[in-house]
Amino acid sequence: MTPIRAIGLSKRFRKVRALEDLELEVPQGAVYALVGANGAGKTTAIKTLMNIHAPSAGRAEVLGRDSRRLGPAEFARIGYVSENQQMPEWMRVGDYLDFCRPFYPRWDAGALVHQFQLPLDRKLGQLSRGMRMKAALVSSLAYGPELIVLDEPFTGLDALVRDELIEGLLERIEGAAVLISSHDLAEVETFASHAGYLENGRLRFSEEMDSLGARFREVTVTLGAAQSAEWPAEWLNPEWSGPVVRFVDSRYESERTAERLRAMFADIREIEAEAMPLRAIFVALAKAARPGGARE
Amino acid sequence: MRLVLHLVWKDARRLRLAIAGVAGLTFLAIGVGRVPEWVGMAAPVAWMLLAAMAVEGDSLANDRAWWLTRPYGRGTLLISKLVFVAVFVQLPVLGAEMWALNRAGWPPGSSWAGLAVHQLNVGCYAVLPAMAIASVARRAWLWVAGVVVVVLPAAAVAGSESSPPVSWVQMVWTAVVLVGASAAVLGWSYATRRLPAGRVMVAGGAVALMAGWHWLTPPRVYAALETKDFQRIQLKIEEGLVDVGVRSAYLPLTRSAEGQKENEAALIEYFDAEVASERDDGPPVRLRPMPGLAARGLLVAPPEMALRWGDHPLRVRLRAGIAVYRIEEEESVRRLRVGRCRELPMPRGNPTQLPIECVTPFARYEQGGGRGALYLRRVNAPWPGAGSLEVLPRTVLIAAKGEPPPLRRLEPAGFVWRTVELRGVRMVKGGGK
Repeated sequence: MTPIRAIGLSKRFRKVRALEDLELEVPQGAVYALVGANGAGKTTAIKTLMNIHAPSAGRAEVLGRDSRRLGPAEFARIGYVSENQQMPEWMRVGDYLDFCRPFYPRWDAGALVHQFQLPLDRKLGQLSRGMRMKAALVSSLAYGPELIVLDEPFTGLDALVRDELIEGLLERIEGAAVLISSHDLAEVETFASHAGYLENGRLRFSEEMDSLGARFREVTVTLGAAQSAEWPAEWLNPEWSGPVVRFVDSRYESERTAERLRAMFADIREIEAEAMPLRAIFVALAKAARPGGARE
Repeated sequence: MRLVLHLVWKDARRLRLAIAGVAGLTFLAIGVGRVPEWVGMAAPVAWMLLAAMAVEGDSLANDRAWWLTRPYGRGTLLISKLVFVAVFVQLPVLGAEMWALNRAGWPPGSSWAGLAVHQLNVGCYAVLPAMAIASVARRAWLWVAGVVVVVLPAAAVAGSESSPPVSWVQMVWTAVVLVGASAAVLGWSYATRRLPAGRVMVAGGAVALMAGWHWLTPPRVYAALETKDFQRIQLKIEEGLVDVGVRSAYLPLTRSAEGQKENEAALIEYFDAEVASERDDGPPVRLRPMPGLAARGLLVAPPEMALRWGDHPLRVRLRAGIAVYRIEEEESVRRLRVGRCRELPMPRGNPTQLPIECVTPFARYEQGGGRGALYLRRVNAPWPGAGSLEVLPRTVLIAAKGEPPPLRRLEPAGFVWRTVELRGVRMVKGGGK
């Protein structure tokens, strides 16, 4: 059973197309990072998958059940944390965890509370942002969910808290599928196994991190003299500096790229190709998506 | 059920201050009685607010609400909200009313039907609509707007005793629409979370209410003093709607004591009405004298009362009624308003401590000195269901200026057969025998 599968999932808010034809699959045991610029549709996608919003078209299956029919039985197996989730701020942390406990047969928050050093006697509304996220994460991991869905969990957190959250998360996701949307690409890159890139509501790519890292390269070509040429669509964001041109090749293959460059430019002195971190890939794609930018 | 109680307990903890405030206000408004009028008006608003706050705590409209991905069903959640309002709104109202009744010398056990009606009224006119609107309102001001548009006018009309009178048909219509629409909105919203459709239902309910009030408004019934010495009062019904004439309708008033100035004096007042109909399919109507006993301005009446249709001694099952007997701005004018006619035992102890009962969402018990109460004791009960002798004043009795207008063919719908509706009685000092 695939924990999450979306087929042509679309969501409109009146005339705004927030999500279009999303085809997404999060395999069992995968940590899937959903990345994209602000307003790309990440939160909409997650809320539609979680049955918080009804889809306008298409469908999705979550834990083998139609997302529109997700009920208590499924939510008992899902841990959901969102950056903009409104918590019951009037509750003390301990009361909140006590409130959640009866809903889950496998509840065990003790170790997590200790690990995150949660102040049980303080109200959620009085906690710092980092502590609130920790409390939310504890309440969503304490029952060993099969599917963990995290919507921008690291936004606005300092590096120390981020590290603690990631550490705590990684210790408890064994066997579970994780869908995480995040701007903190450097952090996500360290533990994500899959990545998907959303742009204007459309999923531009979705693949394993290894293959993603392999196909994106920042290429620097030094020519004998400045030249012009017709530019392939998959070579993103070309920047000329005299006889030197830099671009991002989104379908990099060493031999093939070199061959195409030689066919385009008569006097090539040097070709350098550097691997790119996820953040650089994301920035390159985001820049290319802007009006006038070269895109894949 | 354990889950429901778990959720109720959570709401109770969150709203504990509001619960205490509403309970205090309820006992103040209903149980204590003599409080400023705004307290009586504030109590239903507080009930609605508390019900709405309970719903809003686990908002359906807020897509950031933390509970949306927790494993409890929306059906369970709805039940928990209903249990919450039953425990923290309805129960305090019931307790306050029972306490007030008991304090006034009325055994609450004998008034269970009236108490149940009050519970229904609180639920129909205040709690359910407030919950339904809260379930589809994304923001607080939308809830306020919804309440202002739907609930308050309905409650005001239902509680209105002014002209035009509100017929029982309108009352029933209001209750049915409010309950039906509220149940539909709540059921739909909690089942589907498709709130735009729920909002359409709220708007539909408001339109249905207004349409019902418009189409179901009964003909107005008037009465006027027949002669200059104000010994006789004529009844007449709104012109233009007539198909049957009232030949002679009058309601002579006599007084046998000095009246209100004498605080301790007993005052006997007699009411008599005779309404004759030319209608072929129904006998004429005559009201026999209805003596009333008043002390300290309290009117306890009448030991005997009967409604006659001509020679047909159709005794109306007048059971018990409590009326407001109020001195209007003009000292010579008194107005009788009967809140309800129902079977109640005679009060124990001092009859001047009678409470006044109304069956509107703004109901409250008033007491102290017994001013302004009329007690109508049960007489005969010839057939079941005849208890609606609504000598209950639905008719506005107005003082004649000069000669009364000639009677025309009048619509007896306001007091046909078993119902005579009188809204008030005007008397002029010294006008009696």
